[in-house]
Amino acid sequence: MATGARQDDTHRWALARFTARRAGLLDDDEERRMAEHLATCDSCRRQWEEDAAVVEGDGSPAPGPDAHIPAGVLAAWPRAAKELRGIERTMVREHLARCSECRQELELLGHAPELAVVPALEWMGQAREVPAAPPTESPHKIIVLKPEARRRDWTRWAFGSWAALASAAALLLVMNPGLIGPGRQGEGPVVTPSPTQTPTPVLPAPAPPGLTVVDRPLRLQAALRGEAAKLPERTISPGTRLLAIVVEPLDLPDRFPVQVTIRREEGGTPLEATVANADLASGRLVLSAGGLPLEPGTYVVQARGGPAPDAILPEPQTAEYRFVLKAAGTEGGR
Amino acid sequence: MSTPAPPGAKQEADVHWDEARAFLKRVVRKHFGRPDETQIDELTQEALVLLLRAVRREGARNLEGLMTVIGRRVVIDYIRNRQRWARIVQPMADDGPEPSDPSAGTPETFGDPDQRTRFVVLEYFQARSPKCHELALAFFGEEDWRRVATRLGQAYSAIRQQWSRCVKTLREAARSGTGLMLEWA
Repeated sequence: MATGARQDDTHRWALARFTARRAGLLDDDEERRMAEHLATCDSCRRQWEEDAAVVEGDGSPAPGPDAHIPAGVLAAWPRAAKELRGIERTMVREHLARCSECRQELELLGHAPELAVVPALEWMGQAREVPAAPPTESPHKIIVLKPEARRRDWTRWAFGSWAALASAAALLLVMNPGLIGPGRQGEGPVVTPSPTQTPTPVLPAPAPPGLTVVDRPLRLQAALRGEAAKLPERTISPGTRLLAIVVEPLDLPDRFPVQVTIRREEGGTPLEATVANADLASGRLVLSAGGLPLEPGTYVVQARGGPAPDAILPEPQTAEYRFVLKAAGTEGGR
Repeated sequence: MSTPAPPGAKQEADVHWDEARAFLKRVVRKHFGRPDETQIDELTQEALVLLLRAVRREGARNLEGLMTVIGRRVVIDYIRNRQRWARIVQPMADDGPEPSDPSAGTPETFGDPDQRTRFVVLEYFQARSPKCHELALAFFGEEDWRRVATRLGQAYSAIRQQWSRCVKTLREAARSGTGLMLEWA
């Protein structure tokens, strides 16, 4: 009996360490013990070989220096946010703080891109202060619109660079300190504390129903002065939450800063943000209502930049674009 | 590590993502074979992230083909991952083709345990030890330690010792907390 129990323990010990072994994490003694066991245990060896075949044959690219949070963790985020623990929880939080792509993927899946600090789950080791990714790494520039919960008059707009999600909050607070108060659940909490700040517990954001992803971009052309051209329209379904916008870059260098302003003609306070000139045409400019559906209406986008240092005319360049978001079912009987 | 998209390949902004999601869900549902909407939704989310990353990395010349491959892949991986998780949390349970759901008693068992472990290793070393990070990348890239030693102009034994020290550091760090992924510590 005692021999059988010891054998069971060895099986358990070996099976529970297959993953660590594939990650090269066994020390010399463990590796020796594992090898000895696999040499004598057909069952465990068969399982090891089956697993190894799966790992070798799954077609995944070898992880590069920019390895991201595994897709399976992002996909299970409601569970992950509650269950991740120890060093893994800290590593996910540190990665989120500097990886704009992973933050954006979470947002696109309908989740707030942050991981709350839950004392019972936290790693006791030393977390690192990780600076947020610089704007140039941003896959998207997000324009976040935050409608007021009751009046819905679009006076609470956040507008900022997605490169540092928290900077959307910081930018808004700096530019319009009176516009935002403490967030309440259910209002589309797009303004969040910085992941790099001292961690404070964060209420989980209510995930919007279904999945929201960026729709095909709406390409806008600047209207000539006095031209009464028909405004470009985009019909949006009731659940549309994000809209990519593409406009012509100004006649400035790609990395030249451009002030972009967006407002809704039906009312609201416009806010401004600075993006690189090349971002205007990159498809990375995304209009969002912070997890809430976009409101129909007429929107005005203004871009202003320059003059470039070597410009012949020392005047700033400007461009204005207008477009209409229509709710599905209001196309006039078509 | 993105590669230039081939001519004609669809880029991120060219993809109608709502339609892509609906397509992926159909593929996942077809291959999953069980009316578990929660799991189908989760697998669809995973497929969507993988699609987004693939399109960002190298574009998509045949978007429907790519979505079909990814949707099928996430279902197959889900089944295989259940078996891997079962070995971690129920190592002595019956190892039949359909082990009991490991997440039933251990909700932390989502995703791919190997990918999660790799992520922790790389992330830990990236911010704390560039040398260990370089060795971890070489290991996960299946580069032989002897080749690594040659490439870095060091002795094989020195590289092995360095990696042992890296692992020891990570193990000590992992011990100061809980976590299913690193119970080996």
